[in-house]
Amino acid sequence: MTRPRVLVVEDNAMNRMLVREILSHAGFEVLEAEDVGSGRARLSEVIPDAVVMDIQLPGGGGESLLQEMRAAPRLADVPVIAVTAFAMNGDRERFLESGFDAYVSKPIDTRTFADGVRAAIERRAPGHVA
Amino acid sequence: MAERLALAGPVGMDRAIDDVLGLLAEATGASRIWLAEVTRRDAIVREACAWSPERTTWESHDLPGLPAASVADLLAALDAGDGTCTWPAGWGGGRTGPLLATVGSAGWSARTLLVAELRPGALHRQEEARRLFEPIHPLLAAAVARRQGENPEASTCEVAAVRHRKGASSDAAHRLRLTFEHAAVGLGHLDREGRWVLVNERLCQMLGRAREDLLGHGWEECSHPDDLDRSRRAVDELVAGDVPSFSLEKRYVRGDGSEMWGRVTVSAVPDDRGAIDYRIVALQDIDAEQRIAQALRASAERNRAMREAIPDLVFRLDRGGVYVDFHAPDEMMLYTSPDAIIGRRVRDVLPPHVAQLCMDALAFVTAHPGVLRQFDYTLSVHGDRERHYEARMVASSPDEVWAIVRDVTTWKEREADLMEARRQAEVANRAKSDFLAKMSHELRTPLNGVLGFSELLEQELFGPLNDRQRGFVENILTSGRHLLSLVDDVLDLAKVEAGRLSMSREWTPLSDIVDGVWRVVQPMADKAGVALEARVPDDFPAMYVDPRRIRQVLYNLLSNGIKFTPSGGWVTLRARAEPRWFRLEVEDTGCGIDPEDMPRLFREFEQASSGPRERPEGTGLGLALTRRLVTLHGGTVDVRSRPGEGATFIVSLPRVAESGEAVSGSHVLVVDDDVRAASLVERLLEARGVDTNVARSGEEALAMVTRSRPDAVLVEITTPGVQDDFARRVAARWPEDPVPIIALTVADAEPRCEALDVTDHLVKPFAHRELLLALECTGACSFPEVES
Repeated sequence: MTRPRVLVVEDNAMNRMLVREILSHAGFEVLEAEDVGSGRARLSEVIPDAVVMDIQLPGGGGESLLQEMRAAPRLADVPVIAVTAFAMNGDRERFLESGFDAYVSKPIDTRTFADGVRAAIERRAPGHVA
Repeated sequence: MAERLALAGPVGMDRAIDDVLGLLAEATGASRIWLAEVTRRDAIVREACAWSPERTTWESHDLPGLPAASVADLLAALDAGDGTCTWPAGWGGGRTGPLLATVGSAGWSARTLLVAELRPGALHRQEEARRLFEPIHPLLAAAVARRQGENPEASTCEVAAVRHRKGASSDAAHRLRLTFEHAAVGLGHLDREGRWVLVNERLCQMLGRAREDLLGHGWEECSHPDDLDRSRRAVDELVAGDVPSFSLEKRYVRGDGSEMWGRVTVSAVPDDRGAIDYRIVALQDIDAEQRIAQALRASAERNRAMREAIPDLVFRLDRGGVYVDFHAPDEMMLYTSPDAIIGRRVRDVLPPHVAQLCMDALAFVTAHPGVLRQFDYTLSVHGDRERHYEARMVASSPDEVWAIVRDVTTWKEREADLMEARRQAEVANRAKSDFLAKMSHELRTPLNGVLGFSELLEQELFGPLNDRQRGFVENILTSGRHLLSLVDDVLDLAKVEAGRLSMSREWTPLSDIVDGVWRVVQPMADKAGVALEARVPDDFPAMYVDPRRIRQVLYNLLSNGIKFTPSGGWVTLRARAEPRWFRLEVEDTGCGIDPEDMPRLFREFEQASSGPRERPEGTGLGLALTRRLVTLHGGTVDVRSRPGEGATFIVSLPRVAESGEAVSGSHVLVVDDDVRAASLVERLLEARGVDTNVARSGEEALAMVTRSRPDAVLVEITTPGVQDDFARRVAARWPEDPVPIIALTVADAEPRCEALDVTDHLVKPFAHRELLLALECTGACSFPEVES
């Protein structure tokens, strides 16, 4: 079984590195991008199994990238997990409604984060019954 | 009887003399008539007796004060004349000379001296006296002659004839005397020297003195010393003949020393030579009118003083809008010159926009007597900047209105300044909240790295740590998590302050919340060596709360309790479901709270510092946030503690029934067409767990009351359709169980509440507490945390 590929779009290098370490340790292949532009570029090259995306990104914000993906047929079914420092009540609902597959608030729980990404991929997998 | 005058004799014989003397007394007004027999030779009064008209009896008396020499002179004077004269010097101190007459012929050895003792002032002129004596004299002479056997024809028939002849004029004189005596005004005569010679009863009453105390005394004695000069000047003018009479209002001093205001009119009666013979005094008591006049003067003076003290412009206008009068504390306050106001119309004086307001108000107040109309306007006076004015107008009579105009510029400006200051403060406060929210967001990102990598190390995913390293990593995690909780609390507080903390209530079993909290606090308690116990009944009902917030509340209280409880102590969570309230109590056996610290307990960034041990680590935000979160649920947090004896925090959350109604069935109907005002009350009550319905009109309210009985009705009395019988109609719907009605009103509509017959009323603006207390007083609701 090939290692699932995850694109991590995160402007903060430290947090990007944390997510990379957690996910690689959990057996994911991790691709990285530090902003919307480079994220878009990576997505034009590869179709990842999942995207982990910080919402507050420089250069347009994570939500715009999500909309682009949903609009592009080849990327429309890629699960996207939002990571954010927003901790407002109702944020979770708002993000899920806008099309994210999952929502994780910072600081992330290192023990459960990888499982969360895996679950999001499985929910999108063919044959999965919602 | 032996001493009785021979002249008097037996009764039958004296009958003629009695008649004659009676006639004389009647004509002259004499009080007594003396008769004396005087010997011609030695002119000595041998015998005397007094006859008085009242008694018509003779009494024997000595004729006092008649020295022989004087009698001789008198007799000579009488002989020389027509047989009558007045006593020249005085009679026993009396000032008016008595009238004298002699009866008898030259051949007699003795003559009868007749002395009529006149009332003072009764006769004023010699001629008058003579005229009176004329018809009587021959009768008297005849009577005496008959008595002496000389003229037996003289009889009572003649006397009667004379009386008949004299009757008419005598009656007139009598009536005149009666008129004088019984006049309702004080009347009196003053002689040339200004001494009272005649006073009537009323004058005596007015002056509070007996007749004897006035007669012979000067008028000055009764005059008030302060008015004496004035009176004397008037008398002087009269005496000098400058005026025939004068009238004065002056004060008198009565016999008892009290003062009396009188209007005196004095007229002079000249004698033959044109000099003043006597003065007629008429005195009216004007004490009462004087008192009224004085009161009026004082009142006018007070009104004037009051008006002077009014800092406002005051105008009187007729109903046509013409200025009648005005008052201006400073003429510069007037829009036009002060000379160009009275008699002019409002429209000609004021600019059109103000004149229109003024005329509208005038039309209103003249149509509604007693109702005050207020209007505001701005006006530039004398080219100065626009100033704000507040005018009040009210009708003072059907034809006149008063307008009181106040310059409220300073207030208006101050109010604007305050509004601006408040707006700026609000902006600043929002900026602060925004900043805090932003900062805490920003802090979460680096914290993510700190905590995340520390956890990776702690999990030894990438290789084992030695004990020391593991300790370091734990320290990093502890500090990082503390920092995170701080950041979270700051964020929450900022959100609460900015009103952005939304609540998502759901039906939540308490056990779910407790389980979640326990997973976090149990390790803390274990580490601190504190026993942790939860006593939650198995059948504890689900609560309609935001579970995340109540979890936060319990976490704060429990972690607080653990923090402040030394090793070996315990912290207990107890839950009780009361009919209207859920009580969650967290008790610890810690150091307790000093009473001084109580007031600061729930304030941000303040921690009890005077505990017996050093300040444990904490943000000081926990309790402040806890209270706010509970308040958002309509509940309260109370604390009971004594230093050294632990502390108990009690969270009270209102119970809400499945339907969303308060468990008690508290259901309040709010009647108000003002949507904002109604929703304010609605929110306030719903936060307290009271179910609230709103009716926008009186009719709608009555329809709703008919469908289901509310526990109380809050009615804004100006709501359309709320008639005076509103309360009675509500009462009629539920006669068995009257619904309490609380009227909400503005201050000047209070009297209407009386008419409405409501249970209670609140004057806007009222404090929330007042409303809750009023509702509690009706028994409709219960708010345990509201203390009276």
